[in-house]
Amino acid sequence: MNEPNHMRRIAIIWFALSVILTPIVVAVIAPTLPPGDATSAADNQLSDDTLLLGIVTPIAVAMIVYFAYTMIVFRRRGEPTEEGPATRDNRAVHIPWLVGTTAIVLFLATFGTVELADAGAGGGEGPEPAFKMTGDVLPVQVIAQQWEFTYRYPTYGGVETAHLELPVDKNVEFHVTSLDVIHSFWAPRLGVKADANPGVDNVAFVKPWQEMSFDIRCSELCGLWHGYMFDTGQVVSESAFEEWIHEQQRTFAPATKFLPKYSTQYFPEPERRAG
Amino acid sequence: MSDLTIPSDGSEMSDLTLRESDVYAETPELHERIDRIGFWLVGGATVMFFFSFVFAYFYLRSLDSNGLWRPAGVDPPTAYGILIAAALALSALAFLYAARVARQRGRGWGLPSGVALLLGLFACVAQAVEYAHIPFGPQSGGYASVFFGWTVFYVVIALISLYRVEVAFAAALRARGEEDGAVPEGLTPAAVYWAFVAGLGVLSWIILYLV
Amino acid sequence: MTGTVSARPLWRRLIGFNLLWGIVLGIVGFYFGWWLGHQIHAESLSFFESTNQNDVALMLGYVFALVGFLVGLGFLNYPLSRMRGHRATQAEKEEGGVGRYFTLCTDHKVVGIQYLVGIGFFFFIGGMNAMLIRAELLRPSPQLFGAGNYLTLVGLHGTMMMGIMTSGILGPFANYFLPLMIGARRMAFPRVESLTFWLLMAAGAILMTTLLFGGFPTGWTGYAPLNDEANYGFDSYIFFFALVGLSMTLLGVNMIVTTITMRAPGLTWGRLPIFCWGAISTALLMVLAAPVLIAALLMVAFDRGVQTSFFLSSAGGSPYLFQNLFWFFGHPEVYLLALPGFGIVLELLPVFARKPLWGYRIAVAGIVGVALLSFFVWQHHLFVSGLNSSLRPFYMFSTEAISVPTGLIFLCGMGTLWRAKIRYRVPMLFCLAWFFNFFIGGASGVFLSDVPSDVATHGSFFVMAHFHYTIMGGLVFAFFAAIYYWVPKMFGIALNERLGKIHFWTMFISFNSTFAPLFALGLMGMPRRVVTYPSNLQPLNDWVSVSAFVLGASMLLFLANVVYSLVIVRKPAPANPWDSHSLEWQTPTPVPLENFDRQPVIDSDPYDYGVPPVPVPLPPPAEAPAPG
Ligand code: HEM
Ligand SMILES: [Cu+2]
Ligand SMILES: [Cu+2]
Repeated sequence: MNEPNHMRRIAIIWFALSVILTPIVVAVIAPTLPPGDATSAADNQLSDDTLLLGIVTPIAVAMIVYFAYTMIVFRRRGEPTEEGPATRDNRAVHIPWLVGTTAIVLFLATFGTVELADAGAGGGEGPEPAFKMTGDVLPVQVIAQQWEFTYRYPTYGGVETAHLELPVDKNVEFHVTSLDVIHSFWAPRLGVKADANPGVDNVAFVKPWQEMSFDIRCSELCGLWHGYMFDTGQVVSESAFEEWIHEQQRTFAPATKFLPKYSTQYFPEPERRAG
Repeated sequence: MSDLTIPSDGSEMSDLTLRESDVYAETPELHERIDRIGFWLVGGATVMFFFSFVFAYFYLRSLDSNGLWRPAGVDPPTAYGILIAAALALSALAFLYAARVARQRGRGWGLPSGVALLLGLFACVAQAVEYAHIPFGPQSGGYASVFFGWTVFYVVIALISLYRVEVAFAAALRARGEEDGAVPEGLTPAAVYWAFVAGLGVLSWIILYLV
Repeated sequence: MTGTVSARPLWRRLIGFNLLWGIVLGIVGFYFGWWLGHQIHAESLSFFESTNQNDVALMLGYVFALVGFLVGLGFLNYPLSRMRGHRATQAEKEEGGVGRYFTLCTDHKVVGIQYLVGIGFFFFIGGMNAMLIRAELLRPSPQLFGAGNYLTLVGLHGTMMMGIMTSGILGPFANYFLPLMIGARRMAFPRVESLTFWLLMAAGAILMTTLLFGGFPTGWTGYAPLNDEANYGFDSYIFFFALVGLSMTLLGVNMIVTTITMRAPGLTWGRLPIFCWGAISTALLMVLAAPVLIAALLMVAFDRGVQTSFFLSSAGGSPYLFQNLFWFFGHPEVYLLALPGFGIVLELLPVFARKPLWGYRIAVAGIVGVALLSFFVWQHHLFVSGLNSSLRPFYMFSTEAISVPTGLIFLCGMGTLWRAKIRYRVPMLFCLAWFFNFFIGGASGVFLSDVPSDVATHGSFFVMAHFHYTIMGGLVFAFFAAIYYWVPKMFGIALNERLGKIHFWTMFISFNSTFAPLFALGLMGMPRRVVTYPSNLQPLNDWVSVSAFVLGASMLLFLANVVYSLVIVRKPAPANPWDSHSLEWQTPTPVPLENFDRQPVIDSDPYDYGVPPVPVPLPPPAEAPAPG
């Protein structure tokens, strides 16, 4: 029987499509994706996404080409039922497959770890962060409660503000905690996401690279008004930040006195159920 | 032995053939095997259940959140603990013995399983009495939470496990009149399982009272 | 099988141990428990007027409702007779008409059909909830339901689906077909088998009652300490999931014991149908993971009922404890949903490709590998929680490593299709769609397992899209493949092929157009479980909602097909409509009560399709194992 060389055809189609599509995905689509690269953490995330897309695209193309080809070329209609060849296995296929997938996995895990090692890539790392920013950092405490975020600046007298402002090009160390249930502090453009757990100091690092305003949303279900727990923050120039924070200190001075002393976690009386 | 194809619609020759080895008989060995493997799996599930409490114990202890893992005075009375653990251990031994005599002599398992049942129930009652005499309540911090959660559900599981002990005892009572009263199926696996649960009870005692 | 129709009048037949009395005693039990709870707390008995919630009363109500339900169904008869010293017996209620379907019946085929109908019912309810959620999300701000009801809907949908669909394939199809495939006459524990079904139904009913008690705001994850704050309705969640966990554990034990002890002579492990491998791997996960869930939920019940502080960090507990326990169960749970799908797809492909299953051994390795690995990945749900940041590289690696055994499943599918003679019947279409959907689900899973990437997508609609691709696209597509494939055996009637194809294409297209845009929504910053979203996301959300309604309509097409084929036309199916070589198709339809009139002896695996019919490259069994 004069069978065409199916495998060769599939390989050619796959190669052609991958060569066209992969650069498009990596160079054209990926850079436009959220969260962008306005901060160090967002950049970590985007480079992982770009790499993953670069690897997934040819694999996806391979899958689609293979399945489409076999499904079209090997289809049969009508009676009587034809039987296919009784092949059962082929070492020459499954060993390379196993080696290949394992290699990809190892590579991805390594690359992910490298990006993660850059100060945790904006994720909340708990009270003892494994991956830190060194040098001069600005600590900012994010206090979540039902259903709002407030922010405390311990290096500015522990003042507590209703808005978040950050200086540009400065390492920021968020300390996220909660007074009641679990919330999650998510600022997509900033590339920061850290759960706010009651009684836990969850640390996340980021260095904003450009002035901008960014959205903040709670991304862990925290009860009735969870859907309304959002806010906007600003990254401003160093001098504008200094000006703003001093004004906050003046405005809130009467209130700051009555706040509990700054601490990395707070334990309000628990709300127990009556039973 | 003749080969015969299962009557399908007749069109298709199947090579999954039936032979006239046609023994579908279910032997007592099969039933014992089912019980044994079943109990192993249920044992695995039981372990995972208590593993959660063990995990809670060590995890909360290591966190000591807000300094309230175990405030002063949260100590269960040791005498009760020893009493319960001892009753459980003896009960397990008695039931293992019952299974052994039943296996060897085919009778005489009634008395030891009765003893095992009584001791097991006694352990559960002692646990309930302990709650009334304990110097702390469930709201007294992390340790107290684990203590109450763990012991309450231990009693529940122990009572469920005692079912097979009771069945053995009841079968013995009913078999009293008869000459060769049949040993209930799966006595040995049941005994091993009860010993296993009692062992978990002793383990809880070690962790909750001693560690 | 065709039980003798009793001559007794209907009212007389209604008296006895059956569903009716189960419900009656269940309700009586509920009020008894409710009353008892109020005695303990010495509070008012009228719950509609009571403002002070009494969780203990509600919990006791559920406990006694369950007890009453099971007593009414007759589950206590046998244990009580044994406790009075009577001997062990095997069968119960196996003869006798339609009544068998409404009571404790020890025939695994009856239980399979009970499961199919029961699960179908709750799946429908879960689906309706999804439609309501999508209707609400047509506009960026609340319009149909308030914020609270919306959360209840999301929680109800997620919880119902996760709890009920976990048994979605094992319940109906493994209960019905696993004994047939291994040449057994029954399951190892027939009463337990029936118990698992009725527990699941009781659980579903209990979850529905949450609507009477104000719902619950926690989603299906029920995180502490929000669950401690939640009102009454959360107790329904606790009991639902605890009963589902119990049902799963028992189901798992039963499956594994049956497969180990009751295989026909000659059915070596190397010849076990791949579906059975899927089923017992799932079963193993159930046995080991579900008890952890039960324990975690009982701790919550204690926190709510008797003021312990397992999860209150200000009183010596920790919310992380709940997250750890929940996901230690929860990750295996999602594989509980996926693995039976692997089994179904690989089982059906050879039949329609007319080729042996390619790479049987590596398929088994893949399934077992996924099952085992799934216990070592649970902290990937906690990548931004602040827990164990130094372990993140490990969990990232272990999670990505799962794609290796999953890749083997794909390889086996691809190998089976190679130079095959593919026939596009409806079950085959669903199987092929499974590969497409699960690939997208799996690939997006690799993004989520990568920690930096997960920081951007965790808790967003990206995750929603990902798990619907694996569950809806994986499990539910496999579920429908199984229905179209096996209904001719279960009911002796085939489903209409043309309607089936229309159903498939609407479902496949609308499924993808519903869930693919959610990836984009997630990246653009839309968190899960929110009733509001920025108005620039409205066009995309509307698109998704409309697609979701089409998806819902495709389910109605399926129902129409069921009614049309099974009720109106009733065209008898051929004995073996797919020309399958598998053992279950060699039995007569309807399957006789005892399945096989003789002990089958197996001398090959069930995938000997193709030409030339080469002998199975497996050693013949050294000696036929002792029967039974
Ligand atoms: C009929 C097709 C389905 C549609 C249109 C649908 C739609 C949705 C929607 C809109 C949400 C809420 C998203 C949010 O706001 O967070 C959701 C959540 C969820 N769905 Fe589905 N769904 C479908 C089928 C399924 C199936 C078959 C399963 C599982 C067997 C499932 C499991 C879940 C789970 C676990 C959640 C999460 C609930 C939570 O956040 O607690 N869904 N689904
Ligand atoms: Cu929140
Ligand atoms: Cu929230």
